[in-house]
Amino acid sequence: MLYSTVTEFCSPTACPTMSAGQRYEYLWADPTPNKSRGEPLKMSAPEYVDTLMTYIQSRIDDEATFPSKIGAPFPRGFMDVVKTIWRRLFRVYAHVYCEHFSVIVGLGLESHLNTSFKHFVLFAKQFEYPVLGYRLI
Amino acid sequence: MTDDSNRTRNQFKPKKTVTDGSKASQLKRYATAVLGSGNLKQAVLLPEGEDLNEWLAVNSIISPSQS
Repeated sequence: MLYSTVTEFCSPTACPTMSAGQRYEYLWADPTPNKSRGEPLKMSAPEYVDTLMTYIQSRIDDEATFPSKIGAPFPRGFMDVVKTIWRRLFRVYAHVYCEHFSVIVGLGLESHLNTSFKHFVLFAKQFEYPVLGYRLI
Repeated sequence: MTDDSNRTRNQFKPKKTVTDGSKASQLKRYATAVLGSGNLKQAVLLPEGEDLNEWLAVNSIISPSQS
């Protein structure tokens, strides 16, 4: 939702890489099991975010990964999917903060972004070590 | 440089909806209500007696739509 407010400025030409400042560039590796894992792909920022949101959506819509029936058990790899979702969502915040913050301020949305990010970080910090056994951020 | 196709492409809309009256819908209501309470530290805690996987699932659906 917050990312969609900057899409006008986050085009393949304006943001040819999924960057967070000059030192970080995120590449896309398909995390779907049984898909051939080639080299991680370089993508433009809008392409990366689109691919990520499509991936998350497909996982949520997949009944075997996110069971919606009452009492249906969660699959063995559920925590791994949660980890992947959260680790990669962080990159969207990182990109927006590093590359589009002035646009966010121009739209008067910085407090929304900060609150959303704070909630995201608090949630990740609450569960990363004790539950997922893995550092998310 | 407006790209309308891009704008609609990035809308996050999973097909799955939470069924009314289900455990997930109660958790979702709780998660949204506690988010509005102004205490984010409290808002992320696993509600007492709730299943951890359910809580992770509900929040993994809410967070991408906010980001």
